[in-house]
Amino acid sequence: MKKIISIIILSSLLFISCNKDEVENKKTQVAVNNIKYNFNLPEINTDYNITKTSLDENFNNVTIDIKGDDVIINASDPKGSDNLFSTIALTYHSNFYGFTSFNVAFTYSIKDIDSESFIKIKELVKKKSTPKL
Amino acid sequence: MDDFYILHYILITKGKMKKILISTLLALVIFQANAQNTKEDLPKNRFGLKEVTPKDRSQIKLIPELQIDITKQNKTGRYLANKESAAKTFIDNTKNKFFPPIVSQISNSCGCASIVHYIYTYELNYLLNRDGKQKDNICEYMHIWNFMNAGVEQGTLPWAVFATINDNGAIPESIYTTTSTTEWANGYDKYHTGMPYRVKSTYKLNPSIPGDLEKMKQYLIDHGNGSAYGGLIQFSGYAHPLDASKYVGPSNTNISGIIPRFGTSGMHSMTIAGFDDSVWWDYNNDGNKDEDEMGAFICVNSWGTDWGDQGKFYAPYKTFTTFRQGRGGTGNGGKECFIVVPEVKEIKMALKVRIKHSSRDDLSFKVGYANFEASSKPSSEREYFCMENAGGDYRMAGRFGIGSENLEFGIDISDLCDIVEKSESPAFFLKVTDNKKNNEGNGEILYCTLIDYRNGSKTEYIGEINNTTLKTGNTALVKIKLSSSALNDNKGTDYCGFDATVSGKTINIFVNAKKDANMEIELLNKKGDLIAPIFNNKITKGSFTKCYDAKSISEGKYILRAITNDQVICKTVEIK
Repeated sequence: MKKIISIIILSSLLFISCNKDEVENKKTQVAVNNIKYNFNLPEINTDYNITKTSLDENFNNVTIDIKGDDVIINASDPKGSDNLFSTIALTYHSNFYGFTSFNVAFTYSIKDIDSESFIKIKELVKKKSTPKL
Repeated sequence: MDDFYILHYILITKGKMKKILISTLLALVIFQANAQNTKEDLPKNRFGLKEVTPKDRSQIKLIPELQIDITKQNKTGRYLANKESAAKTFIDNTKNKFFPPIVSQISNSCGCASIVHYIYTYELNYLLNRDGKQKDNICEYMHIWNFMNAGVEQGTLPWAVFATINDNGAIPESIYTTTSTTEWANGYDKYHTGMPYRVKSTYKLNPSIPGDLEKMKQYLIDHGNGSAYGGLIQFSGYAHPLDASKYVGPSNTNISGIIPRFGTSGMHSMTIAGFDDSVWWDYNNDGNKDEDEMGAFICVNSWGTDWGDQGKFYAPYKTFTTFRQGRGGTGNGGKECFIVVPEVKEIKMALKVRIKHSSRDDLSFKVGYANFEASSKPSSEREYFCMENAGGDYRMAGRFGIGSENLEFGIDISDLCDIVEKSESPAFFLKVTDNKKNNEGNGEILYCTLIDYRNGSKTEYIGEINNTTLKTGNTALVKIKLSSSALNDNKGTDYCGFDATVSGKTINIFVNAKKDANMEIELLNKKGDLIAPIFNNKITKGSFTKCYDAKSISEGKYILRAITNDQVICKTVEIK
């Protein structure tokens, strides 16, 4: 029994250790050009209010502008110095039946990102921007 | 054929069944043999001009005569635009840099080979001061002919060739070339490249009318307006037989082939590229240089460089002025020769259309506009001539090839844009009518967008299709408003514009890339799980459209997700 408990504890420790990069301080991290950055793209939901709240956690300046069927959210001035994205601009579009599309554009706080890092970034972007209808 | 029927009748009246059968077979064999002989006698794939009918003469009347200022006439009767040309007794414009390489026409495409490949190409190069030997500067004649040949390689008439160029432009060989006689160019960008090249005006001259021969020579010297370079002229004549004789007589232009008499059948379109007054053909064999035996035009054929002298020959003036058509002379129901003046138009707006159809000659097209975007139909419309019930009973892109049912093309609507320029909220329309012509076909409009090139930018708007289905008796109408959000355009930024529509089981994805990027496009289900990767490749600046066949995807709502290094776009689509 003791052995089983020891294995479980050890496995848990290993698992936490392996995922440390992504869950440290509840923030996702990503290594870019071999330096760790806070991946400050929020979970993008079909509900723009939830997305906006999530952006508020990472950026000092978040504005929202509703123009007809379009909702435009702009975020800038990231909180902290280790954020990967310096600005994020989102446009939500909806119609009578609800959400139809969103369009997210971001600028990086660092230059000359290598191609391997872009592959990692894209995978995280996919995870963060998978809307569920 | 008459002999066959007579023979048949005689044998039937005698009531001898066996003999009838044998005789019928014999008659068929004789008939077939005759037909084969006739075919063998004709040079293969060499002609292609339609014979002018009395009805066609009304079309010729509409073409104005070329006016050259006769106040500049000199003592010899030559209409001189400048003093230098007074002494010119010969000129060969094939030596000018504007002239394209000699072509060997495919099938019955002579009308387009002479007018598009030689004359229009040359005149456009003259206008733009370009080198005619470069593929960028040679107009693809098969692109024009394949709209005109009804899918059965039929011939053309000169004014119909001018009209087809004028309808939607001429694509350069560097962008598109084909040897197929049914293929239509596939891809909006190809059409857009050719759209600026149109026809400003056309003229005729009739060398059998006193004075017109001199006008033709003046046009060959200096376009009749004092230019440093002369032009080219189209003419028609029977080309069976058309065997260039060896020419060793006097000459300033050193061409070794001459056609002293044109053929007796097989109407053919050819090009006049110069003249030489010193050429002499002794028609009456008296050894004297009689006045009517002197001088010849330098003509260019479209039978390759193996024919004539590197594709060129002299045609004595006499064949244009005196000899009648069919008796050694040129002409096609008249002696008229034609001139085309090109222009380069600014393309302000164009439609990008993708249509899937199994029988393209069922379709006719109209484009129109309304001053108010709330209008449900155009207040005015015009025909899109070149694809109207055209191309024969084939799939949209032609007879052969994978995906040939599916054609993307462009239609210039800059003229409509000019009309509604002052309107605040115009709408534009495309109307496609399906009426059975030969075999019944069916299909659908996959998409239609409007691309606005004004103000140096390029903005694409997606059209609303009221009924995508094309079947006999059906008319589909597409409406495009300029107030609709343009392709999720991200105007004023360098981020990609992205949008998608669904037509039947096809997902049409529109990308407007403002810069080169790596783009990944995926189809996700409602839960966000990956259903199908659609695209993962480098994209270059510009717009492109990707059609995804979703036949294997069940009905329902899905999410399209596009990702680049600095952008992610998700859009819901519904497959029905």
